[in-house]
Amino acid sequence: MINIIQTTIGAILTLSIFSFLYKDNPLYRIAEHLLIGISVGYIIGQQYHMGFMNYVITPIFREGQLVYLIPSFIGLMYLGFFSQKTSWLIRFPIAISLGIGAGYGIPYTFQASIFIQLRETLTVFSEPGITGFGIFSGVLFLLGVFTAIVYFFFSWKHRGVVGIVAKVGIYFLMIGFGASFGLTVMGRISLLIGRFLFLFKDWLHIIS
Amino acid sequence: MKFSWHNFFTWLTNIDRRWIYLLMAIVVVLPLFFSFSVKVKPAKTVNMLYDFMENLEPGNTILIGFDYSPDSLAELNPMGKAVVYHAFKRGIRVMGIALAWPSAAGLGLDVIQSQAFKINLEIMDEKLKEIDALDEIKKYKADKELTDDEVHFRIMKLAVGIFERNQDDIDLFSDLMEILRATGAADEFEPFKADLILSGVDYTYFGYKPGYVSIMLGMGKDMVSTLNTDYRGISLMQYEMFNSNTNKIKNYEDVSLVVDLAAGGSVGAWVVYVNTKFGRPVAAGVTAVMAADYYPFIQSGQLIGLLNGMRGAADYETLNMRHFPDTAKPGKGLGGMASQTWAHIMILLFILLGNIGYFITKKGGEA
Repeated sequence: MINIIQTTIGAILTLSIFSFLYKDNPLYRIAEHLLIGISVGYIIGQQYHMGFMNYVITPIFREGQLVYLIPSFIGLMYLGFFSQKTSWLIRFPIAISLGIGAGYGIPYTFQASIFIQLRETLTVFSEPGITGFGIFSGVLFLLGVFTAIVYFFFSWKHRGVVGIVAKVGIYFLMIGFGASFGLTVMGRISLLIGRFLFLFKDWLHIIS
Repeated sequence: MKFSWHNFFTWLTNIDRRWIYLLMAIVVVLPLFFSFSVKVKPAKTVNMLYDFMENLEPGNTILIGFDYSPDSLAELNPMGKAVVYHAFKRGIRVMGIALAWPSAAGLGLDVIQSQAFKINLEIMDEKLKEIDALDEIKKYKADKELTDDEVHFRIMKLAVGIFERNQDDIDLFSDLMEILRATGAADEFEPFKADLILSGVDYTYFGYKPGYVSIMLGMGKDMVSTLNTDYRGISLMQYEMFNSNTNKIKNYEDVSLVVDLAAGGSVGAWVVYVNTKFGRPVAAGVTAVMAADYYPFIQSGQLIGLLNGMRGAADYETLNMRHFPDTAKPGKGLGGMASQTWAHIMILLFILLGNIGYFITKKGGEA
């Protein structure tokens, strides 16, 4: 019974959101406001139980791990934001978060997003047992990378040879954008299919 | 009024967009009713992930990141279910965590529990039929006006609850438990214990853990001290997966694969921190919108596989059906492929008509 009620509420809200496709109406607005309100409430609840309780209350007050007082105190400084007199306090947690984040992030992000990508671009023909199609793909790949980079090289005017190469780069970029757009369409249709499957299968049980 | 292509396309380009929505709804809905079957040829990146999973040994562990919210459920839930089903069928242990979205906490749990339940039903199928035949169960079913599936659900909850020592589940259906004990059926669950998929033994779900990158990094050192508890707040040290003397999980060294199901930028973080720093294999299942961004990571070997939107789920379900023909069934990924195909055909037609209309109306305007 509870399942039926849950699914029916979900179905009514889905249809309310769909009603916007016809025109804006109160049902749509109710569903939209419910979504925002419930999402925020759920997120606060999750953060309270999984964050505040697990990493502040339980370790400090139940397990006596006083070391957790240090990050808790630093976190509390964020609350200084609410008064002009104490707003300077928030610089400390922000500086610490930025420092730790940058310290951890920069070397590994460089490694993952630049060095490894660059290495694999340069060694595109080194695959063992590479076929004719593999060589063709490699050439196409290198051509795409080279011409697209030239397109984003703005120190020289895009005239003559540089202009031609940059134009080829634009075509590669357009193919990339086309692929992204095609995938976006596929993604949006998938979401629509998901909702219809919910309505006709999970709610009305009229498709198997 | 005399017909002209110019007038026709002028009318068509000014058509109320709501007709397009209606047409799209019809094209998507009709294939769901008239089971048009669409054969799917799994993509190379899906095969790569499937082969990797096939090469893992039973008892190995995979970690799944549920980094999406309910609005991406249609694409990512079927993927998660297909991957978890495959893992459980092969005896691979599963851990699940939600790092990026608090709202993913319930989604990940549903994915893992539903597949554990499905496989447990397969394992106990014959036994459930025997229990169905008991007069006491027939009476219970009639009194409560339950279907066979509903009774099976309750019996499975109790069987699993006994082995997981989950008193909440046992108390939930205490009247049925009394019947099973009185008839001796409960005692016959014991031989199935080793095969059943159990929480803490075959899977653990951590739920949402705030901290994102710090949690990712902490898990590389020590999972228990970083995560402390599972989604129910139970200490991880109470679970066999984390306290066994022979095959316990300490950190990423004991994780054979990380699969991130993502609707945001979390794949990048798993690649940067878990693949690059800790050298563990990472695969991803992403929404179609962002899939194009991750193909370079396949080429560089930083991702060992990629599932792309609902199509990726359909591919994985197809591979499951090939490998487990007796038990694996099409999921919502394959279920949506016919609608997807027809919707794409319609959009292609619209693009074609739009362009023809553009040139014809432009030509007419210039004349």
